[in-house]
Amino acid sequence: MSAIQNLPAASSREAIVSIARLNKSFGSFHVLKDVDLDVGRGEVLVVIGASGSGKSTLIRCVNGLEMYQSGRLTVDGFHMPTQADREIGGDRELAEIRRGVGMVFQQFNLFPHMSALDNVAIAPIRVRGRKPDEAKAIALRLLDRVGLREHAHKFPGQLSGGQQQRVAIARSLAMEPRIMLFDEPTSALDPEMVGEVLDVMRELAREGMTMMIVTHEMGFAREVADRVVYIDHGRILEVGSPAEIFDRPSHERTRTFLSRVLRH
Amino acid sequence: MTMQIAQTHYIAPTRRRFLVASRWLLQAAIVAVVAGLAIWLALAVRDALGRKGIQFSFGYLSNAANISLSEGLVPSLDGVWPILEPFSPSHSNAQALVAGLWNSLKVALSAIALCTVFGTLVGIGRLSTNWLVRNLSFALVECVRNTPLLIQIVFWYFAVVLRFPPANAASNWFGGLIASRSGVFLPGLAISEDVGLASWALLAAAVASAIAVLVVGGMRRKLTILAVAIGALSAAGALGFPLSFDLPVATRFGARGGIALSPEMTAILLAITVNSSAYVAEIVRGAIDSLPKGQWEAAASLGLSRPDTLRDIILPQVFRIVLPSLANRYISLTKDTSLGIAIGFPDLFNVYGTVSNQTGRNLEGVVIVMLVYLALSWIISVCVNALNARINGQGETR
Amino acid sequence: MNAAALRWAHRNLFAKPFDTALSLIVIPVLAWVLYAFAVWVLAEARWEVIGGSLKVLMTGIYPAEQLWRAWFALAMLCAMFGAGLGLSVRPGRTALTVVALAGAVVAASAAAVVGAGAGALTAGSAALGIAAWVGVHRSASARRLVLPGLLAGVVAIFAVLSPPGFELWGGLLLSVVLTITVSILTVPFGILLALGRQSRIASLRVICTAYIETMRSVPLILVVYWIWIIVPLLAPDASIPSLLRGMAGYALFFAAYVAEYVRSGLQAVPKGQVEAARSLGMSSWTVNVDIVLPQALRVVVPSLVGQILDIFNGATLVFIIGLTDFLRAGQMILADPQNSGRTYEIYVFLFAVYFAIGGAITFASRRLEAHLARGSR
Repeated sequence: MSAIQNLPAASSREAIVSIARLNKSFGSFHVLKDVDLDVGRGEVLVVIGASGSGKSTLIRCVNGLEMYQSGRLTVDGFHMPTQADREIGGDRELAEIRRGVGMVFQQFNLFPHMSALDNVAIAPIRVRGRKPDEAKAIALRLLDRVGLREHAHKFPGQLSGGQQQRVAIARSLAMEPRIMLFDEPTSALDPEMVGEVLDVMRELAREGMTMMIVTHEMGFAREVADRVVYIDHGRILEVGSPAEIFDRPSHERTRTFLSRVLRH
Repeated sequence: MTMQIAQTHYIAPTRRRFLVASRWLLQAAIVAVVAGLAIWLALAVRDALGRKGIQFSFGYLSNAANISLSEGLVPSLDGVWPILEPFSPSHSNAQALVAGLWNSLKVALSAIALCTVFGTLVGIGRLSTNWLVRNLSFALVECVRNTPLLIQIVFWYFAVVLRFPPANAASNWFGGLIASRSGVFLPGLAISEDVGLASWALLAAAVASAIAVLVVGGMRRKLTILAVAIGALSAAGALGFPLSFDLPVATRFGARGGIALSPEMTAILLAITVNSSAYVAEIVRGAIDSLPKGQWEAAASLGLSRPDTLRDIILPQVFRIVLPSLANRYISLTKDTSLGIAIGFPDLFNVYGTVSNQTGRNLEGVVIVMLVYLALSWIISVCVNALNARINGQGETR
Repeated sequence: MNAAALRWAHRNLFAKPFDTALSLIVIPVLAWVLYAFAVWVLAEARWEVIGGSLKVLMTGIYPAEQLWRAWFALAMLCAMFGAGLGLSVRPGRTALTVVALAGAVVAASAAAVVGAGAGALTAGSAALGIAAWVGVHRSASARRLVLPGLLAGVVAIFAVLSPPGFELWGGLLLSVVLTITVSILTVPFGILLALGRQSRIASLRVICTAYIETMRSVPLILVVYWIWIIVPLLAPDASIPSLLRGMAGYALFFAAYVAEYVRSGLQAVPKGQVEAARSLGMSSWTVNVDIVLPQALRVVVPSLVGQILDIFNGATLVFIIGLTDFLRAGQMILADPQNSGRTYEIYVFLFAVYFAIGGAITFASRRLEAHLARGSR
């Protein structure tokens, strides 16, 4: 269970992600405006907001999938590259940072030409240089943890959405990340499969994994989040404990958003 | 991995400089390698030619060609007026290549027009409700696509066109078409002289009305315009019709009058048209199949018949989808004309070969021919792209 | 005629007035054409000319006492084709019967026209092909050996055929060997070009794009001819046989098309795949080799198989560099005054063989497409 045992203790709260005055635009469209946010080690941070508010972009910046124009973004002590930095290259540095940052996508993005087991084992083999046997043994344990040991040799096309997303979580865990990012992990799932994925995430949170989650599952957010961030039109409007945000939102817009979301 | 320590920069300054430098070095290295290859190639060719006592130059283009071509027109000057005249051995090598290009274009343009029409028909035939038509169209497409174009060209030439009856024994089909082994003769239009301006104007009016009939909607309006067209046409006839049919007349050695196609031209045109029609048919069929079934169902629910649906709903949409594929087909077709050499049709590539043999200027010729083909492909895609933009632009604003 | 047939005819031939009219025109014409063709094939055509010139059609001027080399190549080709078939088509009872029957018919005609020995050798080659088909389909370990096996097969064919000299290769054998060699050569070159076209390095991108677009805009015959004349200029001391120069021309030309197929395959790989791979910290190399290319190539396989047909059809153009392929061999036979009346017999035979091979390639390409579409879901 090395992947899990090596997780940092949940008690310390110095920042693992630190974002200051971050600005990001796509062409002339200003997506993120002067965002300031710290994520503490072992913290579970849930980001909510309307679609198009920039919450997915924020989380993708943390993994270097999107480059920002100005501001400062450090992950685990490393500066993430700005747009200008990326133009000169430095793939190697970025890949190194990413090894410590797991990412789970809305569309799962499993590799369709590999079995579930190979999906989980490929990165440790290719990136960390593990021996295939060793990596597969670890992969099997991780699949067991997400309840899919008996599906290890199936291909993604043969798995349900919920199962695919659990494999995707196991795949990220195989790199022993110090922080996990979840980009709407349940939005592409049929309702009856949402629960199984949330269960796995809940379990991770309990074990002290640092997590940054973009989601529309408000009940889940209230249950697991240490802090909730509300983003509106690319700005962080409110940060607080779930009770503060959900029960006593201080902004009118937060209230409107929540009333719209919670009504359903 | 280090962590809690003070933040390291994304890339250390030295590494940053290294990355920037290596990027430039790589670019430069690639350019250098390619340039080096090109220079080596040029030098090796120069040496090789030098050993034969030849220098790479395009000067030979203006020398007299001293070859004869069975057909082909070249631009020339008659006094100050530019004219087209048949190629003769006293023309220059450059003019020989132009004559070849003329022949290639002649085949390519006719084949583009013909294969678009026939290909669309066969493509629709592949979706016909008539079992026989459907399967015949399928068989035609499969036979053509699964055999080499060259054998088709050779077959049309040696086994079909050269097996036509001699000109004096050839039958006159449809009143004016003569198919003989010395060529195919089609009726043409001849302009009669000493005809008044009025009858030209009436003829123009008749043509314009005929086009209008196709464009306007409404039965009554169509009939009115048709009546106008017929009136104008008969008035023009009464005044002395400006155009007359020029029917070919068979003689002992061929035929006179009309539009004459040489046997080689006939064979390659037939072969390329049939071949490309099969590909166009597949493009059209694929496009019709790719339209959502809802289009057919919606039209049927409005009470449109199958032919009406095809003409008013399906085909207009199909032409938007197929244009890029058609452009590729037209480019392939134009390149296919280079196979004329197999049956002695003097297309651009064939003429290039003859000129090169005559002058020993293989390499210079290749550069020219390559550039010409590049230009042709480029022109076709530009034309089709423009058409595409116009059609699809209309679709959006409507 | 029974009621079901009438119903079928009504629905499929006479459903509407327009269909009826079409049927009334097409049926008599078709019947007449078929009748005339059948009369010609069975009664009028003099098929002896094919039997008499079969050796030239199949191998050109390859020396008669060395023909065992050609027979070896045939057996090898059958085995390679069978192995390739084993990857995608299940050897079901119907498929096996059809292939076995076709093999038997070809072998029997060979026996009747040439002699019992030729018949037996043909039958043996066909049997070898079927065995390879079934074997590869049954065993996973054999499947892994197919790719290296195909490469080894090509090398073996070259090794066995070349001793009498490349200038003596000809006929259908030349067409097929050229096609297979070029098909294999183009794939790695095409992949490199496609990757180059998508590279982040601007100069590489420009060069690859220019190469691909130029090759796609000029006729094959021009490229083949040009490579053929320029190679002796570049290497005046080495005398490189026409066949190899021709193959180089074909490979350079068709690689541009492979590159475009591969590029479309690369574009078909969802962006999320690259993002997921990168988020796991994979290097660009790993992302390309382990994640993107396997998925892209899978999409491209049917097009690549389809392109084998283009190469095979294009192989007729080798006449321009003085080689005698299948079509050229047929024309040479017709050039003999003694055969001048046999134009139709020769052309019908050539068409039939080209169509059989072309049809088989098309069929394989379609089956592969269906197979992959089912597999990837």
